[in-house]
Amino acid sequence: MAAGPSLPLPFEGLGHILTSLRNVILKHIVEIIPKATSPIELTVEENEKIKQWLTGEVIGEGIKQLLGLLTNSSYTINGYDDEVWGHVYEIIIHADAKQALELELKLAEAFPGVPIAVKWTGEMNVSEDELADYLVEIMMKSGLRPKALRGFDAVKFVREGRGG
Amino acid sequence: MAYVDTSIVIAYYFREDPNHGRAAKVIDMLKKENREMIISTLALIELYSTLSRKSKEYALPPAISAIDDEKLKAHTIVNHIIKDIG
Repeated sequence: MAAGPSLPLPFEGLGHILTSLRNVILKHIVEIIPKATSPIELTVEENEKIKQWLTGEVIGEGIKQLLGLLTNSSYTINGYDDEVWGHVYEIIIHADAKQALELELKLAEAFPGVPIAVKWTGEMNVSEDELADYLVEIMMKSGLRPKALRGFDAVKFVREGRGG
Repeated sequence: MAYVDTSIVIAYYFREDPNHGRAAKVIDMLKKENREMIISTLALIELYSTLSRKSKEYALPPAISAIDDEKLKAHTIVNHIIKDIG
């Protein structure tokens, strides 16, 4: 059988990350199987919780792996649950703004749809316009865009502003 | 050439807006017909002002909300809207 065309990886080292993510999943499966001595019936909620937990573990591991490849600066990864965005990964990096934003772009590209925020402790070495351009690019890459909350109505808001 | 009003631009951008479907229909049709869309300077100011005034009515992605500068946040969204609308 002829091998299919190989897809180019978006950046060097992604293959290694994907292998290690597969290992994380396998580790969980290996841990779960011996415990399942009798058939287990999971409720929809339990199933969803396991899915979320597994997804969170894999993404968290993936972010760590990618940061290890992309930067020598020290960083911490924290997580918090947001009612709009779900689980958010917050990275605080000891680097300047430009390095942090470049990193955030790579993360957005590698993990589209995953809410990630990168904060930096170093020098603010980008102008306001550059920062806005970076943030726009991050939104384009991640696919995450502002979400209107309940009661949002553009026509009403514009009318209010016009004094109508 | 078509002049696009602020409310259509905002309704098109926010998928949760009650008029998003109608706005998308108009904008998508203009795009399909390759019609040039015009936003006036006044509409841009109104866009910026509406988004700043109503910033509590929408949630920003964590990458943006991490920035501690309200003016910059509005600036970023306006830039994103322009890029998004094409």
